[in-house]
Amino acid sequence: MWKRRRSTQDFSEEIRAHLAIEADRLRQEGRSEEETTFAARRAVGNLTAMEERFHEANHWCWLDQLRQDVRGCLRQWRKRPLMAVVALLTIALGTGLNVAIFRVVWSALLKPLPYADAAELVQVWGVEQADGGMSPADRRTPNGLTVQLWRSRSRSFQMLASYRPWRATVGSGGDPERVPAALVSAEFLPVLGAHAVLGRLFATEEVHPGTDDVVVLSYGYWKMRFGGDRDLIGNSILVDSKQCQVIGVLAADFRDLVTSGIRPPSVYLPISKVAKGPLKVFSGRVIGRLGNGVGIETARSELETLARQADVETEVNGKPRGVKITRIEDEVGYSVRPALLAMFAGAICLLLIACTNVANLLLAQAIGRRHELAIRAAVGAGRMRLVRQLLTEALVLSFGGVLLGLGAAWALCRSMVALYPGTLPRMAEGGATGAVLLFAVTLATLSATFFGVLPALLATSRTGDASLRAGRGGTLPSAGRWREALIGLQVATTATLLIGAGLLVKSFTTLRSVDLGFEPDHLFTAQVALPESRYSTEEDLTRFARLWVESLKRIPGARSAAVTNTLPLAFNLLTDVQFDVSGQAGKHRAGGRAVMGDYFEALGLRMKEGRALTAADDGRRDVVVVNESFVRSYLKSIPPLGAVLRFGPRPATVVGVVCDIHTLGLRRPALPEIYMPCVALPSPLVDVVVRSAVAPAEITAGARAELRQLDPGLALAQVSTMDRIVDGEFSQPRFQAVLLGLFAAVAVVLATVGVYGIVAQGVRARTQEFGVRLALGATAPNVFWLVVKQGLRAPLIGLAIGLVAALLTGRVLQTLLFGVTPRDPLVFASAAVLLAVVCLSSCGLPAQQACRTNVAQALRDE
Amino acid sequence: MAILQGTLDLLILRTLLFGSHHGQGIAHAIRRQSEEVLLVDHGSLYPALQRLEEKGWLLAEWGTSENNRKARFYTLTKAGRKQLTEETSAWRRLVAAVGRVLEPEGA
Repeated sequence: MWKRRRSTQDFSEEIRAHLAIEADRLRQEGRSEEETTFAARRAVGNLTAMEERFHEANHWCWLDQLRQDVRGCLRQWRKRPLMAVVALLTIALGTGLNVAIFRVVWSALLKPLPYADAAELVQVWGVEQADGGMSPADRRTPNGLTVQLWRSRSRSFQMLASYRPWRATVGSGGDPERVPAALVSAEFLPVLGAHAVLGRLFATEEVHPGTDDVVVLSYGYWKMRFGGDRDLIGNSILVDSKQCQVIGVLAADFRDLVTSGIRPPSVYLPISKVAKGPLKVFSGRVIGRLGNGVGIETARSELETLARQADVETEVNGKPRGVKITRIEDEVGYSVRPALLAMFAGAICLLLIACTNVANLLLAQAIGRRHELAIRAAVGAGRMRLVRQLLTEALVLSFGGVLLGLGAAWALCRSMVALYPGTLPRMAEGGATGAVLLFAVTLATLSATFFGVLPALLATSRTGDASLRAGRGGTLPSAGRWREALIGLQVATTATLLIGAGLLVKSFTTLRSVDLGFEPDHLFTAQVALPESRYSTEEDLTRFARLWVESLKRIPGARSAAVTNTLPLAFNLLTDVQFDVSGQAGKHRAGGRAVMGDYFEALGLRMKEGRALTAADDGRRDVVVVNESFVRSYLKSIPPLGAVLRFGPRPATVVGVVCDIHTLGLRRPALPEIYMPCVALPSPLVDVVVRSAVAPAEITAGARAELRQLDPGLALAQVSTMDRIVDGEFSQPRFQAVLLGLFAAVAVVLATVGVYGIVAQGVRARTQEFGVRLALGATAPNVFWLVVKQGLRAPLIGLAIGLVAALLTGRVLQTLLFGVTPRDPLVFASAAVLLAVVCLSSCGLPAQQACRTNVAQALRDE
Repeated sequence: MAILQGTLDLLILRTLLFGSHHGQGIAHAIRRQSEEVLLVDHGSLYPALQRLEEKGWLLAEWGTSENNRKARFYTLTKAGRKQLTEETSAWRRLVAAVGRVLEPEGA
């Protein structure tokens, strides 16, 4: 409904009628003709202003004014193209980076999960202490028996499901391949709301030893490997050397973000395949869907109570275990969260610093334009109108910058995802555009507010007459304060960012200096998994290992070869081995590493004492080598060489002590380990290592050929080189350190420019003052130090604030740091000194100019 | 004396209670009836009239004044009458309340 609006003309007519009537009245009172018109006019006031007000109240004139302001703004830019370009690029840099990182953060951490009622989905963990340790290292997979009890007795959950990330070998004959897989209980797929597009999902009785030779395929794998063959349902395929019936194919839109955030499983198998013991208990990670309106804490305490009951019923002694429940929403992207948030924080700091520079630029410009603005005010522009004009300019600037930045952001984001070591979850899903654009608009508006409001208010403040008289180049006392505040803020932010980057760099170098304990170059690595169906006895496993090492040695270019159950840095726990030390009381546990072939020689392990295990020891069960940590933990009181360890009834003599290696990653301390010949500890998982005279990649083809000859049903998986594995340990910290280092470098440059700009402006505005000072006998050093002292005040205060802020906020980096505390004095001191020097030098140049003030010139201008 | 913010609407409505008026007439009437105390700023009178008209409290028509001048005449509508009653009693309450604050009983 649109009411017909009055035209301005109609309004003017009314006003004119008013004037006429007023004049009539005055005339009746007996005034002269000239007097009446004038008096009537005076009584009515500013006619044009009145009409304008009517017009403004009735029309969308802000649109007109916006157009005017934008045009005016573009005119300003044309006059000062350099300033416009610098400001635009600064904003583009700051916002582009933020938008790019936000896109990653949104996809990996914030985007709603593709599950119905995702808030009900939770992950259940066991924790060592009842009071619930929060660190990821404390979270355990809950005990299988306990989970069984939970499933039957818990009332807090609609469903509880178990799963295990897995790798399965699919197919046989010429082309078996290892694919990402998941072992799941029957509830797992329904909990996530998955549907089968063909066939069905697992029935409860299928997740049971004996009836569990069934498999569900992911849509993508079904399409890729089986060409979308609809007749596959009901037929069998070979999975882990067992004929398994394909019972279903998952819907194309199902996303499994739980079993692995990185490569989704291609096949799902019943988790009963790993069931153990007479009770056929399987253990795995646990997820669940909470009942309607059940809180996490309620569910947690219920499960904890049930877990205690289970401990009592099964007569398990020991520390009471706790339960921890986290939302799936928080679990997806859990591992990348600290790094991403650190990057995001860095980018926001950078934007703040960039905006400060733009604010300074605009402030200088606005002050330069005070004369113009005063004239505008004098001819009738209201203050709001002027403020709006200046704000519009800021908005145009920021939206222009963001638009530029947005273009860069897409490219930046793509390269960031590509360069990111490891995989960022959910990047390929898309659906980020809306959120990213909204973020960009918000960013533009906030930036414009940040750098636009202050100059607008200061430049239009009510000292109009003064600035009319003062002419061009007038200064504004209150502007100085604000500028100092801006500079302080900028230096403070820079300091925080610099310290963050410094901590990461130091952490990286510390990690780099960790002793690997072996020689990673020229090492070919791979893995073979032996299916239980064909390699069931210890003899089978040992025979395969022996034959396999012999075949590997035959590969051209191979110098020495060995197999083991777990290679260094493979992130697999070693086999738990129970033992006691002869002559000492008490049983202990340590990691058992089974080796076959010249393992020590191949890896280049260094011996501390005694001798290494060699191929000659392959058949012996009575010799072991232990590592330094083992000696520290268990053989402190006796000479390690010749010590006898008892594994059940079987004794073995320690023949050597080897240097520690970091099995669980360089960030984790080395654990006590026992190296023993393969016969003493057969394993169905076989890690391969070959030291080669040629490039390790050239070994691959030979290894595949040898394996096919040995057993065509096996697949060579996780082919890599040790150099690459070791580099994988450094890649994350390196990426973080380099990225934040770059941010910090840009920040320092921006801050330098900022401080320099402000001090130089101040010096220019005070030329006359310096002229007078020099004329009255001040020496050049006097003036120099005057400028430096005043110029440094704000940056130094900012620096102090920045250091304090870094002290307070450093803890957010904690999880990313290795061997460095968030309050590392060296990093703080270096950052402080660096920034102080930078600020000093950016004050020095303008100060020198101040000394060189031409006295005669300055006084003549007075 | 300038007119207190927000009371101009009330005064306009009251002036129109006993018949239609044009803008100048309204301003004049307010001045006269307040015994030259309240001076209507013309810059706010016409926007106020415009506002009241849009709210449906006034009706405007072009007509002819007593001096045979063309003028825009404003008349109170039914809604305007109701508004006037409400605003008058609100105003009375306000005045009484302010009065009590300024001169507390027994002081």
